[in-house]
Amino acid sequence: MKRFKMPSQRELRAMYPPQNAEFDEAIRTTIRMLPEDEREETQVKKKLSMSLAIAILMILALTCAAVAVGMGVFGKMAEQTKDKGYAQLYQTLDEKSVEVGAVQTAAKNDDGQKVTFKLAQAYVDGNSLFLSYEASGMQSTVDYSWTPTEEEREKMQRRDTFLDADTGNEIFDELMQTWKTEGTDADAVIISRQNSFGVYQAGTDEYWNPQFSDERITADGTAIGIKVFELPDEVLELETLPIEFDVFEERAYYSFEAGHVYEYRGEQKDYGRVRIDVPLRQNEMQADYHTEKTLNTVQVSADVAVMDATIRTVVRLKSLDGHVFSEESENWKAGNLAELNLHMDGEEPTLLSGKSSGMETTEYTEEMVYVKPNPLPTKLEWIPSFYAADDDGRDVEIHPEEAITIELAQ
Amino acid sequence: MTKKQYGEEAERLAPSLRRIAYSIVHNEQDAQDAVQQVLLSVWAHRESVEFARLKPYLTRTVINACRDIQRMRQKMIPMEEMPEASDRQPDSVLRDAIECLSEEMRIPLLLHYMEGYKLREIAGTLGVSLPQITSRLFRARRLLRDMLEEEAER
Repeated sequence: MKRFKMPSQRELRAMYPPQNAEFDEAIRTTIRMLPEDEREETQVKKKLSMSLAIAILMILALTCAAVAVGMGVFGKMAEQTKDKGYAQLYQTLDEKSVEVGAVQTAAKNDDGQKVTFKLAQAYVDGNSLFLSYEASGMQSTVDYSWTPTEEEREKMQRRDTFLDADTGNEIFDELMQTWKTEGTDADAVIISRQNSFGVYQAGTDEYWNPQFSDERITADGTAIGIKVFELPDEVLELETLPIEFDVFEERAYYSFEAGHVYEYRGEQKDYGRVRIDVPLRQNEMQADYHTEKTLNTVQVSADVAVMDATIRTVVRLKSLDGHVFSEESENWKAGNLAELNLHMDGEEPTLLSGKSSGMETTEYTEEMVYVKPNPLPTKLEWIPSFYAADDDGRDVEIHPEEAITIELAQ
Repeated sequence: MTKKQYGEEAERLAPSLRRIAYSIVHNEQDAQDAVQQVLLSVWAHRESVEFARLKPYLTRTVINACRDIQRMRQKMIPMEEMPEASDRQPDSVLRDAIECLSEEMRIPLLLHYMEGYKLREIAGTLGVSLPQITSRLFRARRLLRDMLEEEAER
């Protein structure tokens, strides 16, 4: 009897309609229509010396307590997150971070509206800067008196996923929930105060996007949030890192019609930049480990750094027979390494961020940052799987007995 | 993530997202709508999406959007009155066999064998554990083999 062979990638793709010009053009048009990220693309060009029309920055004081006392913002965020891995990370950061007692900055515009912004806690773990902050005056208000004109209606984009969104902004989430449950056609404008997604390194036009961010804004305008940035090596030796957030007010226009949500983002009013001096207290702990192993046709080297809050791994794969590491199943060959899956004491770890390089070449590297479990695991294991011989390489077999192992000192 | 980065990645992933969408909604227009809508909504929520995780995030969101479309279609049109989608490809034994698989098995199978996703990527994308994915793929392959062999013997 003829052995079963999995259909090739090409055969599977042929089951579906081929790529067509109409779809390609629709996607290109969609991408062209994406609203510009003004904070990112235009404000990067602003000179620091420019006069800010409305912002008054008041740095009241800077005091740093070496030990966090009681539950800080990281702790509050740990209580509010549903993700167990992130909750663990926030708890660790709450214990380890520097509590920044009285760094408080206020921005005020011509109408007397005031936003206070306070850096609550900061911590540097590896190259990652973890910040928690509190803010007040971030009220969002809803105006139901607006009705879209024909011109405004044309600008609107369908955004049905908003109906199930959990954005952390109580006012926005409540509006969407109301529309979803009541199902009645309606229009509304939300005027909200926001801080910028990323930050500027103060005194430069260097803009950093966060690796991760999480924010909760309640209806009374108080907010707590977390942002994580990957710091360049040259700032790691600083005792204090001055950074700047943009604070601004934005109008966003929403319509609910026949079960669909439509949106367009309107004008922004700049409140100016808020400067914060972040004390860079480095992690106290760093234990390094290294191991190497050859798995069939691949040489593997793994480096691990165990920090206070994270475990960082760098895994380098080198092909010994000249095959390339590939995403294309046509290039998968029986016997070659397919994957290495990391387990910490048998559990899959929570990934915080990761990057890889070298796909479609013979040398492939993966750099990962994981949440450090508490208690510290005793063993890290990368369990390999190999493309299997019985199916032209397109099946995989997991070989736990060939795991690459690092025992962690307790 | 800048608009340029997002746009380039979105354009690169769009053909794969379209095939995944089509495998659920079986209709070119719905598949295109789902991909376009997801590209717009993910950009609107880019602040909560890491660039490194964009591929699994877009894939998962497209799958969810397609499930919504399916639910809506089923709600609007009684099943017995459902028209045959006009843009279906000519019948093929392989496609019919894959269509017979439950979505739970079909999507991991297509992500792995058609789109080249690694098992860990599929687990992350679908929010299930790696052993579950391995098991679903194993069952999917076995069922597919049985169906195709049975068809070949006829």
